[in-house]
Amino acid sequence: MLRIHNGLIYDPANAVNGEAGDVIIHDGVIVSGAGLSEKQKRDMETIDASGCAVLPGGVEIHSHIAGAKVNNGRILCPEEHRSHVSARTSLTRAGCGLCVPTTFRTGYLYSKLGYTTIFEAAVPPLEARHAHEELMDMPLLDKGCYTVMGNNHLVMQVLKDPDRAARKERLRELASWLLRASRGYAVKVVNPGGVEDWKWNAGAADLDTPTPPFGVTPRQIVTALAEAADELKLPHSMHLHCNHLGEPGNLETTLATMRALEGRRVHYTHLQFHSYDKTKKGGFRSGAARIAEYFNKHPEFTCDVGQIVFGPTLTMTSDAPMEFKLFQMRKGKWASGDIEMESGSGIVPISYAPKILVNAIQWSVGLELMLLINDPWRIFLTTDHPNAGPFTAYPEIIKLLMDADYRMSWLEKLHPRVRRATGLFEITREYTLEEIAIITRSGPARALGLAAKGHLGAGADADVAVYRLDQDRRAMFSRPVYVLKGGAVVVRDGEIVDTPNGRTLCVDPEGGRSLPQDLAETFDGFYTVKMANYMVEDEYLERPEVVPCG
Amino acid sequence: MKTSAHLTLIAAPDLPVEAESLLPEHISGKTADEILAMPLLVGNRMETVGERFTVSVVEEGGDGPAELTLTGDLTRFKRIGEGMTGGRLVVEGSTGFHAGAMMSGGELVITKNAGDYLGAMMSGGRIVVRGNAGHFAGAAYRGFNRGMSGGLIVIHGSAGNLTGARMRRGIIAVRGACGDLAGFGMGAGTVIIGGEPGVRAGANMARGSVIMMTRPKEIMPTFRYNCAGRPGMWPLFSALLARADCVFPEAGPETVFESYSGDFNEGGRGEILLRRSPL
Repeated sequence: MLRIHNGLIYDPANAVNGEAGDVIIHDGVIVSGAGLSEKQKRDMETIDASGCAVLPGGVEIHSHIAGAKVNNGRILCPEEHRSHVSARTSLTRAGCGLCVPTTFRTGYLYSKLGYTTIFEAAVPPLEARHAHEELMDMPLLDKGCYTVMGNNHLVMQVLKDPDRAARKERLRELASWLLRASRGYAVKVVNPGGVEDWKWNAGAADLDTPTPPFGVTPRQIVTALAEAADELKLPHSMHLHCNHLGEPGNLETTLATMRALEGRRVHYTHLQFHSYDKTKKGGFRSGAARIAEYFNKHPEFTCDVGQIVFGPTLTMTSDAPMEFKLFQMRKGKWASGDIEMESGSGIVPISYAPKILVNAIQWSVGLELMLLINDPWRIFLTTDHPNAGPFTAYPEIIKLLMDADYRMSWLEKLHPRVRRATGLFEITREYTLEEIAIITRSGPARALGLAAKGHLGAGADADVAVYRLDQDRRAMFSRPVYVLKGGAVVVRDGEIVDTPNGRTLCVDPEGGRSLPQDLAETFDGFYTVKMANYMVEDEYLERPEVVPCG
Repeated sequence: MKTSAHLTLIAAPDLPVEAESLLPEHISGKTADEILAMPLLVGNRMETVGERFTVSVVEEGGDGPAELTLTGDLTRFKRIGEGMTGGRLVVEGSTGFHAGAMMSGGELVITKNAGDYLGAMMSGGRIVVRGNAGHFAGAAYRGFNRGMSGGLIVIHGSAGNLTGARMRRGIIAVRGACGDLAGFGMGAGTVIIGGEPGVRAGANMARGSVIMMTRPKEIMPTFRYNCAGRPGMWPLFSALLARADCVFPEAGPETVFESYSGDFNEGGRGEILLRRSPL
């Protein structure tokens, strides 16, 4: 048994807020110390956490860390790797990269921030094998991936069915089959219909624009898939990247999507990129206040923020048309992928600068959302790594949230007109440590339906992060004193001391054991691979763990 | 106090060596023992300079920049002079890849041959190679879109492919032959080739100049002939290069050059100047 002694425990899921106490660990699980005598406790191996905050291990709900597009990003940006190199040690492998780090280095970097669970945000089933191979090479983390379905031909073929009842039943079966085929964790929808629309050169998809060649609208896609995710009782709701990402005035689309999905569990991802208003002349301005006002009234929704981080990074997404637009604006490097009948993808390097007005507004919008959405259990800290910036910037963002003076000090570094376009600098709210614990671990764990993550109660996985208390919150969260993964100390004083492999989290929903005849014929007729080479087999998952549905 | 150090290689190593620590600014004010204790990554093992070199140090009067001389077969030594900011570094022998890469000041002299990526992405200073250089001299590293952005590279022998690729400023003078795609994608600066140029010199150049003393097999079809004349800058260039001991005797101040504009795939604002051979 192991005891983390005398730390200030922040465990919001169990309503513990900075109380001094012990966390007892046995066999990789947190156990209650209630029946243990003082002597028994003293005799345990003990970590002295005096002067430290003890939090559950971080849970990353949305990050692009593995799979084909991430690998293409690595190939596209060798310069990014040249400037960030870590040498091999007796424990760790050599690696490089910051925005698209190599696989092992990704595990090390997350772990050094106190994160222990992570989800790859977009995996088309066709490329799921690649994603799982890379995820297996990420030590120190439990991980999973979301299965992209929003532009899938089979999904749209089913949605074309005029028989409502049959359509619903068949879509549920298909979603289940796709999740099993890809060993995915949740239904991911990226620019529903929009990617397919772009492939047919039909322009940008609005919520009611029929998507060729099926004539299905994005509204039909999102409502049907949200319903399927609910009926399958998946632990995580539909994970939605709305249409028109990054465009001025896109909050109207976002609000229309939210209205269409009212009453259903939905997770809106990187909401910052979807919360832009526009001026009468078509200029760019923040729409965070309107989004937050609506969002606050709908407890069925969750979101992550996708906070902008100033500096160079790499945008990569299944939203291929958005990346094409970005490329046309920048005329730099661009990679695009056509994922056959499932999706697309694009990669464009970018640099966010505080003196560029649009970037400064984007930066403000993310912070506004986090400060205006009242319930920290429904908004989570992400940078949509690496799209808005690398996840290594989390300590800086935490400082911005916890220190209003520091936030205000940024005003002079930003474009002078930013104050007119956002309301950020009128907000005085400061996050507490408890709220930081919620938006970085307890909240995401709850939204993901991970009962054993994000808290320090009895029965929880012994994933724990211990930070030395420091008024400089950036310094505090940059270098945990201890990180424990499954009860083993893996980081001590900010350095990796052990490298156990984590588990792959996936779901096993009801139904969907095989593909119906007509869809199987479509598959055989149009895919470039045979079904036998498509499914993710057991050997792609070293330590699978099925998270129960329902 | 000006420090001059002379390091002599004991034996050529079997493994590649990362030698970016061997810079004049790193030895300035150091004793022989301190220099011998400096780190040197040999293969994947960190060694000291003393395990590979003998050293002699001379402290001279005055405040001049440090001077470091390396003697021996250093072809397995990579990154010699990388990031150099001042002083003088003389290699009496050949070097491996990345010599003088990203240097911003000082002078690097290599008495024999240099490997690939000589002076890659350098921003200032001067490199003189008495022998040949490999590929990518003064070029951008993969993924970067700006190569050499200042300074001077003189190669008395021949150079490999993609010399000056994506360069943005500065001068590269190759006295001998040059490989393919010299000045590829350059945005500014000058590449001068004395010997036979390879194919597609100036391909994708947006601006800048490629000056050739020897007629290539063909000028790319995306270049257009303008005129022949005596460019006013050539005598200045010639004098500048002469000060670096690089002379093009076939091209005196009155030499006539044919001017071609291109690459028209990239707007056509670059130029190739081709020395017109006397009739």
